[in-house]
Amino acid sequence: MNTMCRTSAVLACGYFVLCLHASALPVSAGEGEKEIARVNAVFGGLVKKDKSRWQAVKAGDTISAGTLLVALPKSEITTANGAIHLSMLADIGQRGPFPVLESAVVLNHAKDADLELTFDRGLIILTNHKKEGAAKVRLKIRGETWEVTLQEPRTSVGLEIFSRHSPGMPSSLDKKGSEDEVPSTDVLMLVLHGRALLDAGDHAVGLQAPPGLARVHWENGAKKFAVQRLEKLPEILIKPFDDKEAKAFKDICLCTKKLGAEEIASVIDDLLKSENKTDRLVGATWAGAVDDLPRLMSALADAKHADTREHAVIVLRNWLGRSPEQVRALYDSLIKEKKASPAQAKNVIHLLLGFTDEERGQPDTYQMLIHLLNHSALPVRELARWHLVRLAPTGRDIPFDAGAAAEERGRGVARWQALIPEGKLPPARKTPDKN
Amino acid sequence: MKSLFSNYPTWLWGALALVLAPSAAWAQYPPPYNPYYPVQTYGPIGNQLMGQASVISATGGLYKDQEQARILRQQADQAKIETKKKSFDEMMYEKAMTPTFTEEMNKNQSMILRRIMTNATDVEIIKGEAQNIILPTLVRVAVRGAYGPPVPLDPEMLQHINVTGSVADGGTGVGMLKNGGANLTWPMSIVDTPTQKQLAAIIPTAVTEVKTGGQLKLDTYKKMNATMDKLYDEVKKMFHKEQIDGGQYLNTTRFLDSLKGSLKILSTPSAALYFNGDYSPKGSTVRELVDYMSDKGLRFGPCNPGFEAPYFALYNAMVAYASGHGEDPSGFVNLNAAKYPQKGGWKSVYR
Repeated sequence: MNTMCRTSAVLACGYFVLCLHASALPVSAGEGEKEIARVNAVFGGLVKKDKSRWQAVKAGDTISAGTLLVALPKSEITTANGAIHLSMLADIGQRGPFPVLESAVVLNHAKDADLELTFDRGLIILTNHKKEGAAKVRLKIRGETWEVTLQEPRTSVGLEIFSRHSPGMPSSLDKKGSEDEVPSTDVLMLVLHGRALLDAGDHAVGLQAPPGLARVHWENGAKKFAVQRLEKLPEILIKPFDDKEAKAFKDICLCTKKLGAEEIASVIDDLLKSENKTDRLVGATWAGAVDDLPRLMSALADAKHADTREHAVIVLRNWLGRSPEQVRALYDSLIKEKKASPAQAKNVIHLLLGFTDEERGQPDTYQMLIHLLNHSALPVRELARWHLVRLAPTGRDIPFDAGAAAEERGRGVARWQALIPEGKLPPARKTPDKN
Repeated sequence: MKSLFSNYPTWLWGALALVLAPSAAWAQYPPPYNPYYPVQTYGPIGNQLMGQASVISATGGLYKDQEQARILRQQADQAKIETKKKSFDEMMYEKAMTPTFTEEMNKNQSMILRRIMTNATDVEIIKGEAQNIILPTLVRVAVRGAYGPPVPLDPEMLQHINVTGSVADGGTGVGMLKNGGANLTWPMSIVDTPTQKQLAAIIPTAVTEVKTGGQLKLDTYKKMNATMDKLYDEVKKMFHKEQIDGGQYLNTTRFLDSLKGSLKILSTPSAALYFNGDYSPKGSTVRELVDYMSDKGLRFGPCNPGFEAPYFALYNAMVAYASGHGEDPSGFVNLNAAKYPQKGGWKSVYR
């Protein structure tokens, strides 16, 4: 992952904890019934989807029920009754366990809870902002409903959700009408402050900030909770920003300052065309965040900037993992908009989803990837390279730019062929000497 | 009152004494000529007696010295023996504390076994590698009279398990040719192509030659290999022309690799054994299977593409047998549960 991603991830995660102390703006009483929350602060960009159109949301704006909100890298929202403070964060995967690029939630009406929230993706922090008593949040996550009771004022819980398709070609693409494969989803919950009760219907567990049962892991395969005791909060989360991180956070926020004034599509276009690396990467992230596949694919086809392509692969992999339908949506988009043949479209999807264990143990996989380094389409070349350097780390130093001229690429391909001859698996990486 | 020197540490006085004291050489030999040293004389008779006494004294001294030397030699010998004994003891200790190569190997093997029993990868299972690692252990403990619980095996499931005679055969077994090779399920990407049809026609002939004559004819062998190579090339070209996607390409080459391994077995001298029933897994329980495989010297071969589930089922059964469900008093260790606990047995995954 490139430096920008790393630093922004670090920043976002640092805010995970810093948000604990963030103050919420008071929400005045007597506001309209439809208004269920108000935006306190926006760092970078916050957009909402209004009748299939994306609109920027500013600090002070109200949020109506059923609106999908996407934040990058950070936004703060308070429920209309002032009970819950919600922080939406991005973590690009360095401090947290998953490469979360942006966060997205839908705030719903809740009769018997202070907040009902559909948690779609990313990283959020929920804080009890009541002066006294417990605050209740109903969470809807991938068809599950959980109730989190923040037992006392200032109780704060962080949640991270991440979904990814299993590697290999999904069989559903070959069979029309067959059910799409469900991506595997992991949810992590961490009590940062105070005590909380997690009630998932058939399971309920009392949690508290470290030291105590503070960490919960849930995955949609077994649909079970794993609760872990922590003696203290992970150091990586509570570490404050250094100067570099603070600058990177500021840069990311600056990138999207035009969001309020211009259409998001044109903002993304400008960002992707920029000579500044941070701009381009933020542009690709926004394209994925607002489902702008054509722009995201254009980032993957950026002949000039390898860093943009590299980042676009991660954004696309995240985008595919969001729901079972995404794979077919991309397939259809490639066929209709990019005029790809079914085999070409499937190749791209296979390359985005990655290779199964069995395929990784098959020498033909590596020959296939090396062959694809010379493919006529730049995105395919980039995807092949992306996998090769990961599956065969011994070749990481081989210079290969998927956007370079054929002759230059040919030299890289020859080196890859020399490293992984036909019928062979990549050479094992030398383990470092213990001494 | 304290002495003037009482403030100086004792060691200082010791060191000073060493420096000032006459050296050993001074004490042993007479001093060099000293004009101030008095010369003692006893007269002529006295001198003679002195001479005799000196001789006697010298002789006595000699004996005494010789005896002392003998004692010293004995002491030295004793010391040598002690030293030798000590180094021998040290060597024995070292040896006792250092694992032998065999012990080291055993230790590594047991670590591998533990990992395979608790955390085998899918590839290790479907290639039969995991089962081949567990098998010798089950055989070894069975020889000692220890058996796990009776874990039943589905005979239908067992039909899809490939076995092989030796690693020298390539370790694959005849796999998909077990039933004569006439009704293979070819991958979609190559089915009905002229080369596939050609190969599909040769394979049953080759199997029949082995079954009936015990040996493959050279002509058939050459034709089979040439057609196989042609099919590989065609699949590759199809992928390069993007007529098939990467997933189909890898599936097809995996099928062809498996078929190639099976065809290779046909050219070996032991090929007929695969068809007369000797090289087929048999047993209604894991214990019976283990005994049979051990008696025949068989190993598990990789699965045929599309028949992965029976391999997971067999792996689970072997782990369950080896772990003894934690209730067996035979000494088996309960090593975690099976990899994929399946409610409907192996068929639930397979179908």
